[in-house]
Amino acid sequence: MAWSFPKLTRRTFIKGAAATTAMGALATSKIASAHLPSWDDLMFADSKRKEMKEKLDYTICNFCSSLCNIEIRTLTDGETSRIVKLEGNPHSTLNRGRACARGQSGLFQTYDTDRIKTPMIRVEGSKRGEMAFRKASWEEAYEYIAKNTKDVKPWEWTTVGGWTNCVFYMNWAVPFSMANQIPNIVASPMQHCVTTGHLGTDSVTGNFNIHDEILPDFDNARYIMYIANNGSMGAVSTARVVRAAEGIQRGAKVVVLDPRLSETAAKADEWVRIRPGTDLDFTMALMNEIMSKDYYDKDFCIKHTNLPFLIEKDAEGEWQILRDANGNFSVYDEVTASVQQVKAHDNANELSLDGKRLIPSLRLPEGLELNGKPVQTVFEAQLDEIKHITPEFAAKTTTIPAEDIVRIAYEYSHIKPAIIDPGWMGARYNNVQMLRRTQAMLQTLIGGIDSKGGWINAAEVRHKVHTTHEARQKGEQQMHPLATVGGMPFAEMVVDVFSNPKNFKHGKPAWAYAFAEQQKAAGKPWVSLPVMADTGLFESVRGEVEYKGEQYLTKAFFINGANPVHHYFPDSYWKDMLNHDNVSCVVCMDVLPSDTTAYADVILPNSTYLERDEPGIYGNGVNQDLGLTTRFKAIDPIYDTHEVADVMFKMTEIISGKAGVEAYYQSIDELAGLSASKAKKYVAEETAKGTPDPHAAAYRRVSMENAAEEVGETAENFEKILREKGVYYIKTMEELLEEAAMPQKMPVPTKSGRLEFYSGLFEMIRGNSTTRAPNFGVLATHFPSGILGEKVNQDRMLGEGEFYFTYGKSPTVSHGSTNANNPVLSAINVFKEDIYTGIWINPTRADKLDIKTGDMIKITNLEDESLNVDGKAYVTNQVQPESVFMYSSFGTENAALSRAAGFGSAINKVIGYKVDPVVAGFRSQEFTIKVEKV
Amino acid sequence: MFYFGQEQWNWLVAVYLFLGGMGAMVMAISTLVHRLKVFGQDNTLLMIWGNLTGFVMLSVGSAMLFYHLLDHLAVWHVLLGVFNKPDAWIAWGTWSIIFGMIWGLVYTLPHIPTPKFLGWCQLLKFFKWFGTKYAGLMAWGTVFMSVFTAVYTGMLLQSFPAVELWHNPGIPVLFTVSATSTALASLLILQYVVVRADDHELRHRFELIDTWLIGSEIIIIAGFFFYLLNGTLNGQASHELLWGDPIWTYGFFVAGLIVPFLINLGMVTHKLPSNGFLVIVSATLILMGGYILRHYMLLAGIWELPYPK
Amino acid sequence: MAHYAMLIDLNTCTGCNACMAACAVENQTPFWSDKWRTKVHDITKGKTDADTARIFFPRLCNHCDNPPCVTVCPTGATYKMDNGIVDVDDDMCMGCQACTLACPYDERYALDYDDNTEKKAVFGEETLKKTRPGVDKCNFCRDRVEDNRLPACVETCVGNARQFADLDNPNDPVTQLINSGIAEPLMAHLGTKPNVYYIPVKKQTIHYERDMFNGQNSEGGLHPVGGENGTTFERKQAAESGQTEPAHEQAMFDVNSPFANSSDAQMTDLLKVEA
Repeated sequence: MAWSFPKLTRRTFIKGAAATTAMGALATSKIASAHLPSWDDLMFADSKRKEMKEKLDYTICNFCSSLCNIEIRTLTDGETSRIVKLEGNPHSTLNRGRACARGQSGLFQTYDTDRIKTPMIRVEGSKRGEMAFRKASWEEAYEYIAKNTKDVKPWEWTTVGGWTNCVFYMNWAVPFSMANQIPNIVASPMQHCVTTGHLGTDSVTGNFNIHDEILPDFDNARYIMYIANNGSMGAVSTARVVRAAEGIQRGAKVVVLDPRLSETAAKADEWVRIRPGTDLDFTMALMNEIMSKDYYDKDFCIKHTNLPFLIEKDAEGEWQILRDANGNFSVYDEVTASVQQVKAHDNANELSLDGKRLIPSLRLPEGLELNGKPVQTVFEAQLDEIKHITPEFAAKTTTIPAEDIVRIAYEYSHIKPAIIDPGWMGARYNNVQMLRRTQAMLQTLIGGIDSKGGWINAAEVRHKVHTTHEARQKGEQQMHPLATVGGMPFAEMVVDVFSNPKNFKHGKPAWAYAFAEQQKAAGKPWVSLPVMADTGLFESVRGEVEYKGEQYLTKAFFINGANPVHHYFPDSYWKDMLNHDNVSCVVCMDVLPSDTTAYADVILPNSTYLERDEPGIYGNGVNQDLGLTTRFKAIDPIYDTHEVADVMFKMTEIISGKAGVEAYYQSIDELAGLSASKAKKYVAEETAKGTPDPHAAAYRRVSMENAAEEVGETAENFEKILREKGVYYIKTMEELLEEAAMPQKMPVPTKSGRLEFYSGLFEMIRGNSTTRAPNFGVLATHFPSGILGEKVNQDRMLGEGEFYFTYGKSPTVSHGSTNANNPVLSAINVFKEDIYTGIWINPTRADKLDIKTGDMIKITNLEDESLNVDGKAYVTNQVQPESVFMYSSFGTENAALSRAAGFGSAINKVIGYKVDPVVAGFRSQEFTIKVEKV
Repeated sequence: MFYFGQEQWNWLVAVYLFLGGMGAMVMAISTLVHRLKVFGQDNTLLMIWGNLTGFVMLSVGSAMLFYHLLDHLAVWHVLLGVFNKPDAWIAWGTWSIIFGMIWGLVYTLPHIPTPKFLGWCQLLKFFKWFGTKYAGLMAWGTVFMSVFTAVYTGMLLQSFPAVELWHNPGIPVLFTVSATSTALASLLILQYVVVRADDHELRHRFELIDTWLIGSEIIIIAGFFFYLLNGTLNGQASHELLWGDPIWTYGFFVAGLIVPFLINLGMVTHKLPSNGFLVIVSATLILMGGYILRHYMLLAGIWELPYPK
Repeated sequence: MAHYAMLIDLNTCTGCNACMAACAVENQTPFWSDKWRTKVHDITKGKTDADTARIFFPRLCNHCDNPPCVTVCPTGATYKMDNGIVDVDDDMCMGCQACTLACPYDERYALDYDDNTEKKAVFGEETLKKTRPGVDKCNFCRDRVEDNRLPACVETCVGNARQFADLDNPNDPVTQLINSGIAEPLMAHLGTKPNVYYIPVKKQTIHYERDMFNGQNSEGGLHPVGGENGTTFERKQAAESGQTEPAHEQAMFDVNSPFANSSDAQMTDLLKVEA
């Protein structure tokens, strides 16, 4: 009976109206369809709300690595409990009582009708990928796994971890590897964020996991610049945006470099519409200006960086920093006009080795030689490296006028305090790591590290570095490294764990390292630090990897809360891999079905975060204040689900028997400091009580007790405070900076303790390899993005039929996550369908191809035309004319995700497999495409 | 700025506006004509047919309205509206329809012989007695309520401030004129087709009045035409939706107004023979136009906002 | 007595949609039917690359002091409270939808039987605040406000774009902001006396070599941008006319840059009718 009036469309009239709109909502209008009620309809709800009581619980959001603190409101009448609302925890100084759309919608992940409610086993005779499963009991599921992995050797297992696992389950995932002798972890944040872009920043600051380790003090900044980064503000990291918004409302100038008018760029005073891939040219031109014109904070630079250290070129033309036999560095002291030495590890260059005050120079007197050889300072050497990257050079590649680059360099260094956001996801080009490195250098040059209105180290990182520093000063060894080590040493530890064959009785490192060795020996491109990366995995599955003469196969997968089929590149890789005959068992543990669980043999259902008392006590994310927090469950698990800790113990029993379980307890004790004897005792108690997940419950108690002891509270009181407030604060940012600002009060966790322009990290890698690619430069080295070729600068317009490909995150979906299926988020995405699922293209290009908004188009990777994807066009001036843009979160294929399936297009259909030689970081925008109407 | 219309008040409401205004005026005129013994004639048959037809029209219209509601069980609250919300037109309109229908029926009942199978019904006897005793009251009550009903629909549409097409004094005038015009057309059809009494003077009077009304309506529509054309963008949008649509332009304006006007004018000036066929054609066109008018008035209402729907 | 109002700073709304989610969950609205009490629009302004802008525009019921919706409601279901909130009574509303037409801001929607029945499954029957179909709209989260809390959208706004005010409290900082005149309400000329105020968006600039850039054609040797191919940059002309300021200082500020001009933002035309 629904008559519809002729609808107004943009085309019917409105001559002269300047505003336009995406047509989605208007085209399918939602109006009341009049009808008489059915009997069901007349059964108005029997609401008991007034009789129900509201209870509050505190938890940690699960939908990105901002780890915002959340307050859960549950209504209960004793019998039924229903979570009705999530809020930001008002006691949290991290997210200041706010939560983004994903955080707000979290309860609908728990109540999602598509959830995996019981273990599932793939139907006999079906193929992986068909998503044909039958329900099973946990016993059946475990039996199935045991049966199908009987002949799988430990190194033939690969665990794949999503980012929730990296953040929350380190304590269980790494010991799991050790106890079961499984050297292989593919951790999804690595090749996307942590090792790619972040390692660049880390090489300067010594941190490791930047987006969890630095929270800039946007509140007090007067100039904020974002480069190739929508994730911090627009795609929403609540902890960051609450501060950035404060800064903006106080009058900060915001400058955003982005080829697209992203959500962040929309808040900018200046949207710098840069050509994609050329950001490094921009930052180096900025460095060039700031260094050559002396705009930098001289005091800070000479004191806390290795810019004044003396450096020379060796016989092969490689930069070598000068060190004596004890590793001490040399500087040219202005006071005595002579070369002096400073300690190998220190936070400042104020004193010579014999305790005299000195003022190191950044520029040496003309013709200074040491031992008959010319020397320079790192400052001079660095400037030499980039002096050809002038604003004029950069103008040609970035398409930004040289005058603007010059002006921005001046403003950035003169409007104080200023922040360049460190960046979030890297993984776009060969040179992203170098880009983030130069961003850290720029922030260092203006003295904005651990300073008001600058970058602030996360309290948790600072705390770890501080305790390590104190231990080191006392000459003590640090116990329980997973819990206590921070920054680069943590990274190094992780690298060592999986790359060093001596760590495993079977003597095999991860296949990633075996593969790297194999490639190197064969003279083929190889990756230096394939930390928890997928490089070599496909080859291992196919039986093409050998280690010390033996075949190194991969036969079984344990994929925990990860969705590589959807967010690794390309989708066919993982589909083919998981479907390979050599793979005898794929176990997926997850909350919802996903494109990856479709390829499982066994799906184990995990409880959602709102149903969980977290088995660990954690730091307060990237908060500048030091605090502890955890999760309290609001309701008991609704379905037949279990916790990761318990599943991992069971899996250990299957893979390595009782001995493995014992080793697991011990390994957790050693690495994470959670007492094995206590844990075993509590496990027995919980099992006797009938607790469904006794290991999770036991470790919860152990962790709670440990944390209480650490802060000097009784376990009861500590838990009480956590229960009432959700966070337990120990020290504020101000107090921490006063005590342990780094580098001001203590060394940063780099090799030398100073902020490093000459990178100790890359020096080490260089030392371990024969790689001389510019990625490994010990100083910041310029090289192009690689889109047009590894050595080709982007100083020309693309051809008529060629486009750059760019993608980014939408504010409503966590990258690679299944929360595109969340009913509330999905409804919002439908409301914004044209913009979120459209392929953005500029009208000047679209018109030439006769493409209008809504037309189906196909974009094809010009490097490999088998990689292509279809989608609807969204014609807009908001994207740079040489580029197209897609939001990355959509295009799920698994129909079991009823709302996400078929909505939008998947970017990993058009992106091929290309990795950088340092860490196998994805080079996911490093190609051009053609666009056609379908 | 964005411009968009509404779809909540769809054809169901358009039908109600049409039947409501028309049915009410049919009852008013029928009753009046009978009560005043216009032209010295009996007019009872016409009154009975008129009032019953009007009653049916109002019933169907009200049923449309009822059906259109979102929460049918809550409808009784509207009856208290005149006490709680005397500023709401619908509150008054609800009662005016109810009273108009009941009083009109009560006025009519005494003139309808009781069918044998209802001989037992005391209630019927009571109403017949009541309607006889208080015929005058019933008559004037019906007329007042019915006229109110015809007028209030226009007042209601006028009370929505955002829509330039509606928020002006022309709408109540237009709706009242149209309601009366369509009512006369209905009555003419009844006279020629059903009642067929010897009331030629009445018929001519109806035709004359209707001619005046249609002529007025053409002027009012012309007023709207220019008012919207020179109006704000909101008005211009409505203008486009109306005059850019052949159904409005040709279905309503030409076929529903101009043609009947010319036919009627011809008939009342005796340039055209006054025969049943022409009258019925003209009346039918007027009725068709009356519906299209209401339908398009609802369709073409435009909101102007800095954001889309 | 209180007089509630809202202030929305369009300069810090990042279009994250948290408010849409928070409101839908708090007020149990039929989001699956694309029906919302509040929406955040992603609006494109401008017709060319040079003047394109992207504005996120949150909208909701304005809780007018002269609400046309209250006037037309025949049952009294819709009413204005003493604290300024305009609310709809679940039991009284029969859903004639006159109010949805009367509202100049298009902020009311019909919650029909299908939506109403589906609510039970989606939110859990026992926790529903409203159990009947009818017209629904934002009520400033009245039950939260009466409990001394903020509306859901305000509490969660990550950009601090939405702010809640009590206009009767002169010490309320948001009230002071509103009274300063920095913000404008919508369509005030209609006489509705709305209580939602918007701080307009500051003008933006894009920096790129507008229309003049063609890649310079050269293989080797890099020409400075703005050489033979020209530039629209006026300062270059000043330089050519031989001014005496030190070269690099002269090159510092783009005098046409809005940042160089003043700290008072130049206002957008979003809220005004455009020709």
